[in-house]
Amino acid sequence: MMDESTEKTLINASKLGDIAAFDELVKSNQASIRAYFRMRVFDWAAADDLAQEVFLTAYKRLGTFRGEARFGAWTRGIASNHLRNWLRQRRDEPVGGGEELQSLFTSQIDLSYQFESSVEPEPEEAVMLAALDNCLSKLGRSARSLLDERYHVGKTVREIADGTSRGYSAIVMQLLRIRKILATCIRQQLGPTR
Amino acid sequence: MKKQDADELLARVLGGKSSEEDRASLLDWLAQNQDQRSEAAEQLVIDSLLGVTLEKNSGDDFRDRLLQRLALEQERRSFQNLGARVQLNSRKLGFILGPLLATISWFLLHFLLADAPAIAGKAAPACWAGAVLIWCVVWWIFEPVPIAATSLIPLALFPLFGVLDEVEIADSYANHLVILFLSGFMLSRAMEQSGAHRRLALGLVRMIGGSGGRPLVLACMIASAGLSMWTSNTVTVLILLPIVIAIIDQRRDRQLATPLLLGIAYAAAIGGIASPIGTPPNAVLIAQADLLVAAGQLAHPVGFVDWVKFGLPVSLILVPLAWLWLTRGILPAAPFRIAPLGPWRKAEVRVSLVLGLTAVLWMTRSDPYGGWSSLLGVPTLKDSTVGLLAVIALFLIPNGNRDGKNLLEWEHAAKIPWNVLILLGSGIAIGNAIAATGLSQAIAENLNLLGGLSTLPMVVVVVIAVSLLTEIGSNTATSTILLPLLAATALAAQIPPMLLMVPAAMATSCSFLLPVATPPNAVVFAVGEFSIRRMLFEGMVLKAISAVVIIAVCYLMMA
Repeated sequence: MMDESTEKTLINASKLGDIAAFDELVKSNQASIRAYFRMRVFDWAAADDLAQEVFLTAYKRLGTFRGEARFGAWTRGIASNHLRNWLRQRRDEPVGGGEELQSLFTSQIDLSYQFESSVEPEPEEAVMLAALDNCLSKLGRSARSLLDERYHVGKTVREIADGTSRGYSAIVMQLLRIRKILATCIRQQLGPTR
Repeated sequence: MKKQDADELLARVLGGKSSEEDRASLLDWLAQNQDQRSEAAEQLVIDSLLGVTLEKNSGDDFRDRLLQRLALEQERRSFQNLGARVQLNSRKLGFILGPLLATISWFLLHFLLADAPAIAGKAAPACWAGAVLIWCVVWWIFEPVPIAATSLIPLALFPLFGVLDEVEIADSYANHLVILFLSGFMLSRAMEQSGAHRRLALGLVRMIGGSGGRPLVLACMIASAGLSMWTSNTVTVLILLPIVIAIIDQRRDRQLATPLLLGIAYAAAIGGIASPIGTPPNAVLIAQADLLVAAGQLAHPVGFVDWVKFGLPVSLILVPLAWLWLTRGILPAAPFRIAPLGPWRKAEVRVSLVLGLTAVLWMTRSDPYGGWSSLLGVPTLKDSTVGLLAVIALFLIPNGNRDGKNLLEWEHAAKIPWNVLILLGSGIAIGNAIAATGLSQAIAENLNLLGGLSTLPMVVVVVIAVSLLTEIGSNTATSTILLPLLAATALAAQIPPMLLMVPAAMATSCSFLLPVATPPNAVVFAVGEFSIRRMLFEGMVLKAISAVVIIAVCYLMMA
């Protein structure tokens, strides 16, 4: 996580229109904002679009940012407003489909984790991402290479199955297990209060 | 469903590439197996985190795309700042320049035209008319006071300097065209109130644009042009903007964003050309034609159908050409889905019926064979009467809801743009004044504005000049200033006045280059999807295309 004084310097430079400085802020916060949306919007491309809007809004409103909260917490607030507006628009507009499953997941996620009550200075997603980094390093080689194939190369489970002698179901189950292990590891790292 | 099947279903839903069917099945399963929800949510959370952490280049791609958009935002912001500074300074400058140039032009006109036969005996009122015209033009361009406030100057000064008396000037500000626009605005308000405008637009998009990509842009442009024939260009764009933004958001196809946004703004301008009530410059031309008829210089006034005969072909040709130009290079896209709009509501049906009937009455008033006005023995009836009757009907017909209200309530009707009506009235008053005092004729005869050009080059020069001027001033102001002068110029050159005036009136609507040229451009530019450079490039070519089409259609039909 970026230290507070560097962040302040970057924010001041961004306020004067320095896009490179703002890019540094984006660099250290984009993952948590994108994760926030991906958990709540199935379509990852749509989630990333929403994350773009968050940083655009942040850039436009930098003048109103008084530094009482950290930049990450501030943009997280903007993200939650954007998500609310987006969901409302999807409901009002005759363009688009039903989001029942999404809202079921979102309420379950909010119940299981404490995202909405996350305290400053860091949003919960950022804390979890840092813990995930640690947990990934503890995984065995085969688990890690399966995750790389799935998430880094971007193969579907079917493509992975076709490339190995193992069946589709076996790979699905292994991925489920790995994600479960990672979830447990993250919980342990974050301590009992979370 | 077994747990293993459900796990496989979940695996498909995770990662953001599942089908609607998968999601529906998973939803069913989770509804029946509530104990599994927390585990499924946990999988979703970890899947999202892994996606963000491990994805190849995703963070860099994300930032690159964001940087491009930030650069656009920066450009928009600096343009706004520059605009605000220029506006402030130009307001100060215009405040002084208006009366100063008016004084200078008074002396200049007095010096140059005092002996012109056209203003014999009316030299002083003619010079005052010219001076007030210059004052208004400068203030309309620089806007030291609101445009509508400037538009009140002739109302105060013309009687004071003996240019027009109180009755003549009142006749200009309450001209039948002003009333026609008043009724047009109120019809448009009723349409907005009922939601019929939205249904018509979405229905069109659904009908034509369902296959996505270029047809989708065409559908939005046709919807925009079609609506703009009956409502103001700005209202049309404001109606369509949320729909277009929803489409852009749903498709997330950036190559489609600029053609869609520019498409609705340009199509609104082009659609406005098609009908007399589409945009105020058309009314300015019709008012000028009335003056020419009164002076015996034109055989017939320009009626609703007369205008449509020129305007509609221009729009019908320009919309597809603009579409072809704006969507060049767009690849075919996946089909676009719009959820069903549901049954028509009573208010929507009733407003659409009133509007449809009004349009039919407008179009058949004097044609064919003298139209229904001749049948009823009132051949002098104007379109404004039809418009007002429609508005009164809207105030009387219940909207069909249980709230006991009618299709149009005064609280909504009162929100029409009164400032445009005042501007239109002042334009007619100024046109009246410079024709009545003989000033326009004297200028055309003495200053030889188009230097003995033959007809076609004269039309070409006029269309190009007007196309450029309209980017600086408002469309209505530009037509108000130029049309009386063009009428006199045409008469002096002994060519049919409509041959110069109609293409000029149409060209004033073609403000395609700058966001500041006309409100619809500003509205779509504010979305922040394209740069001014892009708009200049797209607009420049479209302006050239529109100039050629306008000249060709008008010349072929009138010469």
